[in-house]
Amino acid sequence: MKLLRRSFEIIIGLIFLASGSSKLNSSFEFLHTVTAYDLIGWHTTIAVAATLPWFELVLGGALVVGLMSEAALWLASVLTLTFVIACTSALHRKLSIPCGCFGSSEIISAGTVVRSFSIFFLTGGALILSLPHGVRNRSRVIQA
Amino acid sequence: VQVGLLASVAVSLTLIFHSFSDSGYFNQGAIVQMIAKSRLVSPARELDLAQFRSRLDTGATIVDARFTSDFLDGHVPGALNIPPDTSHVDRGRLLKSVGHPSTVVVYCAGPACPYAAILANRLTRDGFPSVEVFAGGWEEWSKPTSTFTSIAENK
Repeated sequence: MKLLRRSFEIIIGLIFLASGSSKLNSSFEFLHTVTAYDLIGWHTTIAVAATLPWFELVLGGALVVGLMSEAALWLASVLTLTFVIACTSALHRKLSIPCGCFGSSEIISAGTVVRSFSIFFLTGGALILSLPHGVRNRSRVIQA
Repeated sequence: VQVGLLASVAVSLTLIFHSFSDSGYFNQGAIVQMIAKSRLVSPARELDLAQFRSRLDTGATIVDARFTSDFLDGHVPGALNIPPDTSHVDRGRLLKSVGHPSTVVVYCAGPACPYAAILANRLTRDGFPSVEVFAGGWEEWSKPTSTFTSIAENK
């Protein structure tokens, strides 16, 4: 179980590192992409575009190294879920804009949402596996 | 506590990067302002690759909105380079060389690149009657099926 959790963490960590570094390499294109989502005010847009790549790099690094991994997984889950919501909203509004993922010019599609959801489930899975054994069992009993 | 620590590290690195890097928002206020203004204007009409090819065949003026170094690495045949940092005066001078074209098509690196839309809006404001954007940009044009001009071929 420990090995499975570590594998999940490393996979998620590498995804976040790749995503963060690609955004840093094209910081102005990323600012333009966040602007195109048209979800938040201009100053918040700048703050999100500036900090998001570094959050991804720090979380990715922490997960790959295995440092503060539980906290990193919580933050990674929040970031991924936020991204899923933003993508779904853009798709709902029929916006034809780049998703801003991994530095590519990929236009948001249902595939983007499904892929982001998969990463969110992977993060959630790793988070559940990182819970102490007793807590995991208790949550299983509650679910039953 | 750990969440706060990770967040603090990320915010600190953000501040350092954007204060000292050439790609930092604090160092490139003009580009950030350009992107900010681009939100406030209506987007130009976008063309797909087939439409762009047809504009090229009918002799439309093609403008490359990327930085000069990218333009010199390869560009659409006959394209005029107007980089993002070109002033209003220089823009006018460059476009004077091709007269006052009825149709201008602007392209950039790809769909995520903001400069084509920004330049298109500026040209519309300058009084050009028909300014369009080839959204796929150089990324789509330079795919193996397209013919392109490289600096080596120009020599």
